[in-house]
Amino acid sequence: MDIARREILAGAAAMAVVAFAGVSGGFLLRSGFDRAGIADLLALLPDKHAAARIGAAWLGRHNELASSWDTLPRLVAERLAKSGWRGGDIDALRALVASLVRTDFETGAIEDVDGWRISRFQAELCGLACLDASRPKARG
Amino acid sequence: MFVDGRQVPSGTVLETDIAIIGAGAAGITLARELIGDSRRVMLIESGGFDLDTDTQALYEGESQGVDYALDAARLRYFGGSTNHWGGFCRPLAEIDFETRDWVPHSGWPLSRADLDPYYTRAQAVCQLGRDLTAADFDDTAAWAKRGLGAPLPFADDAFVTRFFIYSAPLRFGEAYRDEVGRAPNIVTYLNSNVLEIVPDAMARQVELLRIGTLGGHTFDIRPKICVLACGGIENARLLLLSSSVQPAGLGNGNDLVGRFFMEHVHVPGQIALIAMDDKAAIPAGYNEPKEINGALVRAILMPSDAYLRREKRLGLNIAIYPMRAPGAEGTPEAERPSEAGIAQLLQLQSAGASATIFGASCAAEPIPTPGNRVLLAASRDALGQNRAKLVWRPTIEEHRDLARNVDALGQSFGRWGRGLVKALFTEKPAWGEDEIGWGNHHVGTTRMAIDPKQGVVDADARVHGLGNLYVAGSSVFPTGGPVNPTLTIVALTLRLADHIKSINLTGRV
Repeated sequence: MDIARREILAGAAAMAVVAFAGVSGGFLLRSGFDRAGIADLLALLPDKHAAARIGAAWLGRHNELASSWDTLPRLVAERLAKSGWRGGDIDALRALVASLVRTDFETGAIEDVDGWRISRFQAELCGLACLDASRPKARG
Repeated sequence: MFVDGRQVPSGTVLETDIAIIGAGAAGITLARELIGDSRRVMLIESGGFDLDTDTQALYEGESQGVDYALDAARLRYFGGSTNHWGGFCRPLAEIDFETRDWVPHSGWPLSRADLDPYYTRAQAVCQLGRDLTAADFDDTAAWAKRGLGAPLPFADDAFVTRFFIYSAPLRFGEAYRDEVGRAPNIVTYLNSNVLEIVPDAMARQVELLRIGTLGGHTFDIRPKICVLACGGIENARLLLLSSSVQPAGLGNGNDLVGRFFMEHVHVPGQIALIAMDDKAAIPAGYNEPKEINGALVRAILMPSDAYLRREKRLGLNIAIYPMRAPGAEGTPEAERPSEAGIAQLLQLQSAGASATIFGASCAAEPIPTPGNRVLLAASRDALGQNRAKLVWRPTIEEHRDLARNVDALGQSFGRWGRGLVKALFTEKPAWGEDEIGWGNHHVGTTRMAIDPKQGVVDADARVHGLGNLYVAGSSVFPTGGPVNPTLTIVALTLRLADHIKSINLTGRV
């Protein structure tokens, strides 16, 4: 296990994770879930460092997601697929994400991240940003 | 006419038809209503026209639980605590009067509809603006049309926009002094402290009021009707001090006098921060009072009745205001930006270009709790009277309720899609000391109920078991609702005035 993942598992400050890792969608693309447009999802978050900080705080309380490189991307991909996503332009993806976030708030799928009440899907996106930012450089 | 009680020779016995003890919002309102009545009225006030430190010291007391300065929370001179009133006015809602199975000891013996005409009259007494009625406190369309801004268009029904309408704030003593002084049937005794309300031997009727001054004079007043209007703490204290015939205190046969004390917890600072996608998404009418057509109005958020019933929650009022950038709190243009991570999460849902932080503060409805109470302390004041001792401990149920309402606020802003909420007030196993502020609202200590075993006064505000003793003020509220009490105090007093005017005193001695 590399240092970055241990820090996430311990719920440690994401700043160090992000500074260590750099930012790219490459790892997630190689994880086999690019069909769900995960790279495009990350493109919706222009400040990936800031998103990764939120994601690290959230993953710190979700070891089942932080302990695997694949689990969270798979969950997100499955949710997109269930929502009918078969790929498309960024505007269509943005509309779908807005819809998923709205549905989360409607159904009470709300996460507490440092006091902020954000939707489950918002938290998952930030979690993806964190995982992506903390990928081992050796594999890149 | 005003008379300085210190000039009344000791041993004097005065007679009147109606004695009103206390010249605050309730006492002055009642006296004004009786101007021109055929009955003689005596208004009895402990203080003079200005604050006097020796008289104010009579309000010193003890507290247990919350460290509560009893002398700082109220004022003891003509006009009473309206002399430091903030002017916030809003009626209680219909649900506040109902028996709610999730609020122990809730339920008034009257409804909002019963009080509506009095609320409208009370608005005039408090000088809230011309041509307004009780309906104006809830009428979002009307205020939007008048320029206050549209209500926040939440997608769910948890929170709705309501309004505070502000008094100037009116200092009742200054505003109505001349009117009361000129009234031919009213004599106001200043610097005159009621030491005891003395009933007959069977404790069925009040016979006389024993009056004392700080200079040592004593005299008596014999009223046909007596109205206690000293405020939510002092009303209970004076009944408990009136023990020469009933040792437990007057009207206290069921050990209820002083119990069920309530205050509105005002959490210091903010209960939440709200990141909005655009600062204009919160209309200015929410951020501070606005003067419109001669009325001073501010929009607030309150839980809807439907939400309160569905979730079995307590009432709440939430004020929203823009936060300033750290170090620039006094600079209006320096709105505090949201952190970048939250800003871009907002932009997942909306096209807003910037994220601005607003603060949310609140006042919360208390649960009537018999253990929260006013007692007599062992220590005594300069008149030799036992001081008041306040026992007040907000309950963990109230804490949990408020925290869950903050969560619901987060859900409402999230569903709307233009805001995200950071909860600063969250569930904990106990109240933190730094979480408890209050509004100087003293409610519930002589609660109103039809059943004498459930309340001190009946639906007419008459003390159970006593034919001619009434109580005016927030001490009669069975529940406190989530809003400031003054408008309701005045409305109930106007209702009491109508009742008293209907009483035939002929033949009463």
